[in-house]
Amino acid sequence: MAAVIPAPWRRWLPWALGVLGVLAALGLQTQLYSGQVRTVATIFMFVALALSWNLIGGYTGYASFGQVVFFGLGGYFAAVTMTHLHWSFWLALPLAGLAAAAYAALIGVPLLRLRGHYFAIATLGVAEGTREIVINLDGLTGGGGGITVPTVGAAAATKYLGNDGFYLVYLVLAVLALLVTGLVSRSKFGFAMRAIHQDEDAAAAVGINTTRTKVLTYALSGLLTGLVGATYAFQQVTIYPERLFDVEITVLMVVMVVIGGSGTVLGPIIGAVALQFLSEWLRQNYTTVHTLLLGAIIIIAVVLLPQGLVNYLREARRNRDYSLLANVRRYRL
Amino acid sequence: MTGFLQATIYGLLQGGLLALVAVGFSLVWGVMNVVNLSHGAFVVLGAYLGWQLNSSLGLDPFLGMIVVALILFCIGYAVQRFLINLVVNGPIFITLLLTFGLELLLVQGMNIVFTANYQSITTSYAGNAIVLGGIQVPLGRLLAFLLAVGITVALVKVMANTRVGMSIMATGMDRGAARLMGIRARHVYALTFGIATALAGMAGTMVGTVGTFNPAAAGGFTLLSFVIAVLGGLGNMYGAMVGGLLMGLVQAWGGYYLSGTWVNALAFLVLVIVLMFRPSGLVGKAFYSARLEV
Amino acid sequence: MSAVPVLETRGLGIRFGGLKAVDDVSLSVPEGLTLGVIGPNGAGKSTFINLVTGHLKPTSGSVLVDGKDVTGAKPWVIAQSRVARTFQIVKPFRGMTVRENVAVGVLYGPDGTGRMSTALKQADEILGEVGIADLGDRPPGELSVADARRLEFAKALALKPRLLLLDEVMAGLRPGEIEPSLQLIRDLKARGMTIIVVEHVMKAILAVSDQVLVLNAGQRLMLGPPREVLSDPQVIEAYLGHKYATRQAQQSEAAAAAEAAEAAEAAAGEAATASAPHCHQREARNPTPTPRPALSMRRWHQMLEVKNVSAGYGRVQVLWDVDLTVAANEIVALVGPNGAGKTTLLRALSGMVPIREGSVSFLGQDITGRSIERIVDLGISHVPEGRRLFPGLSVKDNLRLGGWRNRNADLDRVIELFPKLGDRLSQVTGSMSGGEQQMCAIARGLMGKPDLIMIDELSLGLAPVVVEEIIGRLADIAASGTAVLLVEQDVDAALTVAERAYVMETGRVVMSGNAGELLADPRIQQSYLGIA
Repeated sequence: MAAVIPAPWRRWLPWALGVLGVLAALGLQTQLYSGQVRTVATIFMFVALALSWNLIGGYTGYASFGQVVFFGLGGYFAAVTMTHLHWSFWLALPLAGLAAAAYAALIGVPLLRLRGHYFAIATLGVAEGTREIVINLDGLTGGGGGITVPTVGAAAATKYLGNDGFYLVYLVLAVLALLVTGLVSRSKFGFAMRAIHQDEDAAAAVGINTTRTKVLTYALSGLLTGLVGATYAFQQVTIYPERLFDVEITVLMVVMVVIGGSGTVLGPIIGAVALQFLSEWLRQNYTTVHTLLLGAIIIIAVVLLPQGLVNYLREARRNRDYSLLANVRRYRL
Repeated sequence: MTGFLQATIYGLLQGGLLALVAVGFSLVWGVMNVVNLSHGAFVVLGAYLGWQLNSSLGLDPFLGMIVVALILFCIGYAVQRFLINLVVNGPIFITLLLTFGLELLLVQGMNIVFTANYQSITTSYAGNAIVLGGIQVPLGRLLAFLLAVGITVALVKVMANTRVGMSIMATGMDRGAARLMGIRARHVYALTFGIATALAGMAGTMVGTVGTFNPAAAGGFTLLSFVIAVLGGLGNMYGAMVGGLLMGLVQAWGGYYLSGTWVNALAFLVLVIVLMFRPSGLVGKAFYSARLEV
Repeated sequence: MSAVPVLETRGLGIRFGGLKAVDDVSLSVPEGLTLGVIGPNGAGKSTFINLVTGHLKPTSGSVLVDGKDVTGAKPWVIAQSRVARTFQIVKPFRGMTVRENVAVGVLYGPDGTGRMSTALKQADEILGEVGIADLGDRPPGELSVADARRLEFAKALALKPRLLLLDEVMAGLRPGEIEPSLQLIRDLKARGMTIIVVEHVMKAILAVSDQVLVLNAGQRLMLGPPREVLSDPQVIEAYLGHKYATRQAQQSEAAAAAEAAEAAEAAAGEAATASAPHCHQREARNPTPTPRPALSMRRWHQMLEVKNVSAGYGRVQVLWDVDLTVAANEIVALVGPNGAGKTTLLRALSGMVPIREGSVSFLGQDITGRSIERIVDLGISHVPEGRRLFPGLSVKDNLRLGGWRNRNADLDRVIELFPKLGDRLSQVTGSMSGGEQQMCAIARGLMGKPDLIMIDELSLGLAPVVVEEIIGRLADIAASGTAVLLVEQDVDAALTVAERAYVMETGRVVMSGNAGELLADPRIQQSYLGIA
């Protein structure tokens, strides 16, 4: 396919498709019922989350199993500042992102020295520990009882955005994450990330400051996740630590990226849309067993497509071998 | 002072049980380098099976435990042999995700079969307590503690002295070398996982007799196992014992001295610090060097 | 040319636990010099490179680049100061094209540019320089061994280095592929680049080095002009073993006394049957005991038959068309320089590496493609490279695991063979000496009562007297009904005990035959050291 399209077009094609996608999303909004708007907004939310996890987990190869900490931190930063300081959401949102980024950099310096499982666990530990801290700072955060952002009346600095408003905000965040991913993946910095993923020693040997690259990537990933978290907190109005620091959110990000294809631009988008769409469809049609089916789908996907859809198609096209059995053989004992 | 002693006793009793919860997790991690996110689900499954045996057949939970162990061994063996072995050489995302999918499946399955309500296994004697100098020692907890410690010690002995145990240890230390001895790694992996789930099931039944449980508790058990395994050193079974007791004491003392759930935050802080400075665990060295290449 | 050396090390050393991997190495490399670094396996060559490039932190001494102290600096800092290296095990960035692999170095090197197009263009130029300009769009996983090595080279050149450290860039190359790499090094040399070449291919060292540094057991053994160094008895001993070196010395004495030599040859000629002339020479001049007689009539039953076997890892092929046989009760040696594929062959035979082409049959059964466990069951035991004892277990437990498949717990037979183990049964293997560990590994391999035992690098890291002791037991093992396939660096030790031998070089069998005849063949030394 790629050969058919002339070179200058090939360069602009992703951008054109992106613009078309955004226009389609805006057009779609007018055609949906309000419940559907909410569902699609959630899909955008997961696209943004998956893309941001993909930066640290997919491109750089550090499996951050505590990624939800930035989601929760961003959410609580926005909720607390909007409630206690009466900040506008439009001020709280970017600062929540920055706070999450700063936290990522702070924990990244010591943690990113760990590799493999140890990094995964340590980040998970940080996430759980941070949740406990949030629970216990109940004067500020409302503790386990949650905190409610004022959305109406005089106390509300920003009026509740409503389904349509959040649809747009999540769309913007998804596009932002996509832009960051697209730009980073083609840039000098993206090369460093991918090099570190493949081999840190070799990356350092060609002059890449691996520590700085990893910490910056983690901060960038934390920033995007924090922005989404802040939006989610405002959308939910009342938030609880158990939900905002839920391990399941991290795992969903990972599943989406892995199923779609980690370390690619398209993979996380496909993974997020597919999984969220499927999950919603199962919820509506098989209410009682939908999570059960989701678990089964994850298992099957991991066994059959361990490298993700996008990477599988790339390899299969190059080797002209579309057999899934070769995939199963790859990691078998 | 009595309050402190009471907390200490409670912490030790609870710690012994936690050790049994975690020892299988630690074993699986140490031997096959798999972080089994479905471990907690097997603990809860064990609790439900024990509860079911008790409520429908009237089987005493401390006897039913053996049946539970047998059932869960078979499930665990099959899961490893036909599922996890398919991806066991993959990158960490893969095994983490697979076992997470398994966790979803099990937890939701239990939600459907047993509902999300809290249950507990009631016996006529578990609530009774021995009182020693003003300190209460509930009988059920004492029994659970003794059994948990006994099982852990027995496990260590089995590992060191039997043919099966030796093959598991050897495979954990160096899979390639073990295969060169003719040890069938696929089978040994499945056995290991089966043993781990059987232990989880027994622990679960005992958890059910001394407290309440529901499917949603699975994640918490996995996380606790995590912390204990890291504290004790991966695959080090005595380490898991020490880690469990430590965790029990920290929880009990924390509950006694600290307000709210600060104690949990403290536990995770300890976890992260241990990972940073002693990734091989607090108790000596990790027993297994886990050489996986052939 | 500046007076300050490009690289200087002062008392450089590192310990891993109790082992001094590099010990007190002081060295000064002036600009424009090409320094060859050689030494037997485990001499600390790669560790030395890792210390210089910051991949390992030295525990003693210092490293100076252009007179500036960079001891303990991070690898990227060293790379920025125009010191580039290659890795012994190639480390391409998968998921990027070959061109992008090189571009990373251009982007992050000392002249780092931020412009992608410039970097890619420069990458293409560098690829042209190393001769793989046409492969720019390919993923590195599809490259042949030779091209992957060239890519490794190109990635280092992308840093525009003043000092280039090459860690075995010729390993695994076929003879015809070595010449272009040598030419490349010569070109860089002509440009005034300072180069350190760590290499096992002695021909390459001879062809490009101005000076050669020999490391042995982490220490600087000697430094001097290549030919001088390579004919030094100490160096020959380090490579080919003590006895070989001794005989060499005697040979040269004999050569000096020409008359005596002629007389000896005449005497040998009388005793000769139908063997080649160089064989007589050896027998005449060698006072060491003659090897066990090769009994050609015993070859009636080929127990192990390897036919046209090719194998490798991933896309990298290591073995080409290997043929080999072992008869019952026979001792066969497999010798050859590092990287020749000896270990891979053993691993292929025991099922640890998949066989791509060809077949292996054992006791009349086809075992090609069988699992490791199945092959062990059929009676092939493999004592792997590095011994791989179970570290936390006692000698007794290790031996019992050896007898796992046939439930053999009878230790007497192996203790009779290696009495030293009898005193150490309850000792944890990790705390024993290397020699005892090797005995334990072989004993473990024998516990399953195999028909064939394959021993990889028996002498690795052992003192000559210990090697002699262990090798001495091989005849007993063969006599008791277990054939031995021995992979060995110490040529003399191996060929003295074996009846037949195969010599491998770059993945192929290049010579084979009667062990005694091979021992006298000057081509053996050539294959190890590049000069006869």
